[in-house]
Amino acid sequence: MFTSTRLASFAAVMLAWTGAAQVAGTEKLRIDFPPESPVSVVSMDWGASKAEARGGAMVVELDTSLTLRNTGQRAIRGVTLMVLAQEVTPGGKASVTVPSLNVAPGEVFPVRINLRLLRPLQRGSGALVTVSLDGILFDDLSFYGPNRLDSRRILTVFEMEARRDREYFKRVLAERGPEGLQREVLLSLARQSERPRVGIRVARRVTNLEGAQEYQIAALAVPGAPVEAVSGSARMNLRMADAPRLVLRNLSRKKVRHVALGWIFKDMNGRTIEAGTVPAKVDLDPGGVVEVRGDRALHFSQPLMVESMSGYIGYVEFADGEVWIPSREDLAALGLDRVISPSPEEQRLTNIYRRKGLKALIEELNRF
Amino acid sequence: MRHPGQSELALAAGGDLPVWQRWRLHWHLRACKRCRAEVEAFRAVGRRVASEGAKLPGKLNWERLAAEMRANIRVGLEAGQCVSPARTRGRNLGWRIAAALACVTLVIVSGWLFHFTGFRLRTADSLTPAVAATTEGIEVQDANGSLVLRHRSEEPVLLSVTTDGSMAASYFDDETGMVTINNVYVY
Repeated sequence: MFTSTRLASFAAVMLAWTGAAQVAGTEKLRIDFPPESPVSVVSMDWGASKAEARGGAMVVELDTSLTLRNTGQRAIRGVTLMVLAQEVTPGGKASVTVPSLNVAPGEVFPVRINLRLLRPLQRGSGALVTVSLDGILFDDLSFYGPNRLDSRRILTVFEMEARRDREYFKRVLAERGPEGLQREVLLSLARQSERPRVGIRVARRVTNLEGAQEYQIAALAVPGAPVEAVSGSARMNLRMADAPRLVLRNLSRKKVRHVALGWIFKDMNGRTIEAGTVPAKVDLDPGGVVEVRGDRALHFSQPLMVESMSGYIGYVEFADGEVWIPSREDLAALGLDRVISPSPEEQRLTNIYRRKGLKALIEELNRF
Repeated sequence: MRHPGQSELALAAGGDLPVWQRWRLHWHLRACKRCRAEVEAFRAVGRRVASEGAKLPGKLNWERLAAEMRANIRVGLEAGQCVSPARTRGRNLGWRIAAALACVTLVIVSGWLFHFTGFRLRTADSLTPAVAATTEGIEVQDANGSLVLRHRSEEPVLLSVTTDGSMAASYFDDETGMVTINNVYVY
């Protein structure tokens, strides 16, 4: 015989079973910019955003386009927004970065955020998803923002790469004309589509890497790099590569606080693959040597039979905030231009050519 | 003393015996030196095979190997159907209908669980905080849930990872005409 408690439980179960019950609307999504921020939110288009309870889980679908206005006095070159789910995003956090901007004071620009959050159903107050400002980089390389995600360094690297690549394409245009530029852009697009892809998952290191082999990482010397990789090694089996151990030396006269090493694999089939970047926060005086070791491992979706490993200095950040990046010529001399990802600016410029043609690309280059 | 068979000892060496048999064999092995030696020999072979297995021949074509295995499985299934005895007509269909209904119910409930609630089997991998690329975008996930940042682009999306636990997807947004970089970070 059903008691009232049993009936209530049964009804609750049936309600959950009958599918999606909408529990919240867009008021559960919040934009949190500081009042003195040099960008303001002009409008928010939530599109088909929704938060629903499905069985015992909460599913938040957020598809929004923010229109932001530059309310400061300097042109904006890049922006990073942090995305948090009730301050406790499962396992981690997320962000959306828009580099290669050229937004003058008073102008507006859009930022799109499209996400799906799945988490256990919990009753609670406050927004389910909060979008906040992490940093803005201006044309004079000054920065504004809490910088919780190291956006200052990342945006500065993107801006340095953008300047380098725009200058390169402008030089090609000046020296070889529109046809030369077109050829260079087509080569870049071909490289982008031909890059070997390997499914990678990044998770904590495992202490017992079964059947692993120790690989020495051959250092590719980039001319003019302020830091050199003295030695490096990594353990790897068919499915997993442990974060490498690196010994770095500061060759410059300035203190270094961050180094990023590009990590390259060559597999048994002769493919050269960009495995990832090994970032290292250091406190490296001029002439100093330091050993660094990451705490994550790369897990491959397919068995990867690696023949050899190499590495190159991708960028260096000095203690005063200045950033060094390798030149395009140096990357090409080492054969890395065919292996590593193009910069966001190269990706943008080549896609402008793809969408709008050569004339639009030349106009875009002349805007800067 | 009655000794267990070779297959039982081999299963014991691999840790594949059911609990009851394992317990029974444990007591036998304590008293029987010969069987203990057999089990140890099986374990040694297992270790050797595992280490040899890790050294796969160079230029192994995985796609072809997988295709051959699928083809062999299909051939085996079809051969099994050819030699299986002809079925006799059922005398009492009642329990079969009940079983079929139970299966259908199970399929519907499973479909609901997996599709509508996003329920996923909790493997050791899915419990570990990690970032990964999915068909939709890039994801940070752990035992409590997941967050996917989606990219909508017809052009190739450039993925990159760092060994401090982040993944980025850089894509050209057709609507805004700008490059957008989604990032997920694992704690």
